[in-house]
Amino acid sequence: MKIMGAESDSDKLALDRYRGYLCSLARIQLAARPWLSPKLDASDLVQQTLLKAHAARDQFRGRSPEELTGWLRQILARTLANALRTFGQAKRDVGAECSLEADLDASRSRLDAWLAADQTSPSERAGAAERVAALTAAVARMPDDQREVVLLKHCQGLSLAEIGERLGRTDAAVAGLLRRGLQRLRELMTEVPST
Amino acid sequence: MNPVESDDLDAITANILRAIERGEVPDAAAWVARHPAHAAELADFFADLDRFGPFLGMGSAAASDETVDYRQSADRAVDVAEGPHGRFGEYELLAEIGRGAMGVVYRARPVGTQMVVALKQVRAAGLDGTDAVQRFREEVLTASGLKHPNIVPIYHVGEQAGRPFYTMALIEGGSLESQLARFRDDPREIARLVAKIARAVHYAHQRQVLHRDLKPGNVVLDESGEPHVADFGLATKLNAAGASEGGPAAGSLPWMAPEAVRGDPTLTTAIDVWALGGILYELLTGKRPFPGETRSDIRHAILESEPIPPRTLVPGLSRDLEAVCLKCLVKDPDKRYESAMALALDLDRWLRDEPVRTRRAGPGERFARMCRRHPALVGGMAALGVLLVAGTLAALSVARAQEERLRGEVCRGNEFAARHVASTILGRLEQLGDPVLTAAGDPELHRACGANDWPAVENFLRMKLHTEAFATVYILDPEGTIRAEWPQRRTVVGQNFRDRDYFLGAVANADRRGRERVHLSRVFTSRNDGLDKLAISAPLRPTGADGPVWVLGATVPTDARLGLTGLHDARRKAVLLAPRDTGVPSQTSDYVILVHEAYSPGERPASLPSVKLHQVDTGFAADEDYADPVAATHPDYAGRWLAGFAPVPGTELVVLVQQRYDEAVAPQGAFLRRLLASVGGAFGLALLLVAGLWLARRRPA
Repeated sequence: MKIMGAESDSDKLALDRYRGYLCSLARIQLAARPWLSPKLDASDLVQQTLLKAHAARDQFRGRSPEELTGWLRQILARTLANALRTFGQAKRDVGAECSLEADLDASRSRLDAWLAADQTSPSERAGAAERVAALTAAVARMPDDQREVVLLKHCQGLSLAEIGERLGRTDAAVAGLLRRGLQRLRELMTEVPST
Repeated sequence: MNPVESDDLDAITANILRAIERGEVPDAAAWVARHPAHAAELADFFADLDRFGPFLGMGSAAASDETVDYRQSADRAVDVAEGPHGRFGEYELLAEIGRGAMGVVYRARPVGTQMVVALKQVRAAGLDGTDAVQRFREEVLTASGLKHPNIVPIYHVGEQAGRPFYTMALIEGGSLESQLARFRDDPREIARLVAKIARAVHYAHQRQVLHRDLKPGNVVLDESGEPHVADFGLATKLNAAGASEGGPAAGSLPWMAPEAVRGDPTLTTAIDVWALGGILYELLTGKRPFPGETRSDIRHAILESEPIPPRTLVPGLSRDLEAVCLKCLVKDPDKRYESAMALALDLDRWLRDEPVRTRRAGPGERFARMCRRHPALVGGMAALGVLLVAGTLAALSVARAQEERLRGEVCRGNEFAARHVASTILGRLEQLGDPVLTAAGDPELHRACGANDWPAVENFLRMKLHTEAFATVYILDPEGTIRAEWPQRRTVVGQNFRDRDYFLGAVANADRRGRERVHLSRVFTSRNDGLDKLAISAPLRPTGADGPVWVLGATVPTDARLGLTGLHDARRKAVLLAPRDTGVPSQTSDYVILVHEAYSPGERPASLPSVKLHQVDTGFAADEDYADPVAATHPDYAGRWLAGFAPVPGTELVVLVQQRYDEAVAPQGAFLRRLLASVGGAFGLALLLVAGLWLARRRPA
């Protein structure tokens, strides 16, 4: 990592605050594409994203934190799309950048909603970033078939019937995977993280 | 896991997910209750959905009583950069204790004190418009003006970092919702509790504040069990044009009044009275008055169904308390208690064992309610009913008129038949009378009588007059004393019978000519054998044309049919009547049944039954519902008969022809019975239809 000049240290630190958050988003996207997980690492993607953001910081015209995170998500989507193309997934994900951006937006707002509503252990409540990290880590460790259903819901908001169509399964089978997936997710989140 | 069971569970899960995708909020408890075999798995699933639903982009899935504010954005995101705990202005936030649509409530401590309060702040996402901020301020200001021992007091209204908040007393006992079971089986305690809540609500109403979101979750109990109404969260100035205008009402659906569910812009205190009734109902029965698995089920129940009467769920419950409860839950706001205080007062009355002001609506009132709710149905039924009744009445009156006409015709037909029979009988009587007339004119008899030669008279009677047609033949002197008789019995010879009709009638005919001299007597009881008889008599003057009048008589045998045999047919029965000889030769209405089909040939009753006849212009008539007196000894003749009468000319005999009423008007009767049966059937079907519809409405599947 290249060290920037003194005048830009504060900017970089300001961007660094979003590292964990972007990491979680990236892990979700990678988890949705298990065939990539041996080749791509979420923290690498986020590192590239933050570097690009820093380099292009002059182009950022917004002011509010929401505008900043939106801009960062755009860059993450572009980075992810590039990586997909590199590993031969471009044909599979046509228009990848746009759809990735939309997926990331949806993913972010759903993670936020989850954060807002999750009241499972108020006494042991960790920081928002840690909780999102725990969730995404748990998602990454789910069995493939269950994770697939959960993430099709999370990233793309597909209906039961649409998921069934895509996976060639009945509605009941998809519902069962989703139910057991959530059960597994709960168990994984209560387990002490192994890493 | 058993694969069959698994499939089943997955199918249920798919149904739940589809419901959520349709935008419904499934009632977790109801689903779990409906599938007890999977209760644990489904409960876990709902908990997981509740927790991870937002992550899946499905919102919180469990149907909750959480206040839903339709105006607010569904996006419940908060600023993730800010942790919920820690310092908040001059307060230290200790723990989150609850969430509503508009706010999060924390236990909080004013910095530097040992005091603990409840602090409610508006969520970040709720603050995107000035509308929400304005509403928040308004609600707090209105609620902070309320000071009542049963209303949670508000201490401090403020703003911290752009976030409005307020603090209020922290009541540690927990909400009524979590302690519903504590009150079960103690209706008096329930009544006391709800009366207190109602008084507090009334106090707010008097200050133009509607609660708008009353429910067990918004009533907190302190350590001593006193209720405190909390969260006038949606309270708004009664008359202030504002928050509630132009959109559906805010509130918690299961406790919302129908007018609020419909989005009626002018809500009144009646919606709080409704909610108080809902709280009372749930406390009494342990169930909500308008349950449903989905929001649309609940909406439908609130708008269309009557709650199951509490006594149906809790059989021993007081009828009056049930009435009080249901009076709050009447769909029409004007028919509920006019105020929360009125409800409190009625509960007080019940606690004092006095009769309550209201009572369960009678069947009439319930019917009226049903009429108002289903005007088209009831209108249609009413129209159908009116048509049926009118049609029936018309058909009945036509049928009656036809029956009347038919009856008249039958009677006239009988009368005609009777005249025919009468002429036949007249011929028969003339055959009997002629020998008597001839004998009475025989000089041999005159000579024997004139000479008082009784053996010669007897001989004459035996040789010239007596035949099988007559039981006895006899001669009376001008005094009315029987001088000779054949066959000889000598019991009546020498006895005087000057009062007998056969004597007087014959004497009266003494100056007539030809057959007019013959007299047919009224019926008398024979002194010979005690039987009822009639006689044919004729006058004679043995001593010359100006001499005293003697009478020759012949009694007709007791079993004579007088030619009536063969005059009956299957339906018409001919009967011969004769007036009874009372010893007074005047008009009589007492007629003896002389000849009747029921009498066996060769014998007849010792004492003949009689009948009262009225003389009318056309002859005779019997009573309207004439019954044959013979039925007393011959049950075959019981029942009503239609009778026609005809006098036998020149005599006092009357012929009666009778026909059974039922047979004569039988087709008419059958028609009437069929008509009544079909009308009854139609009514029955209509009633079943109404009852079915009503039940279907009451218990939406």
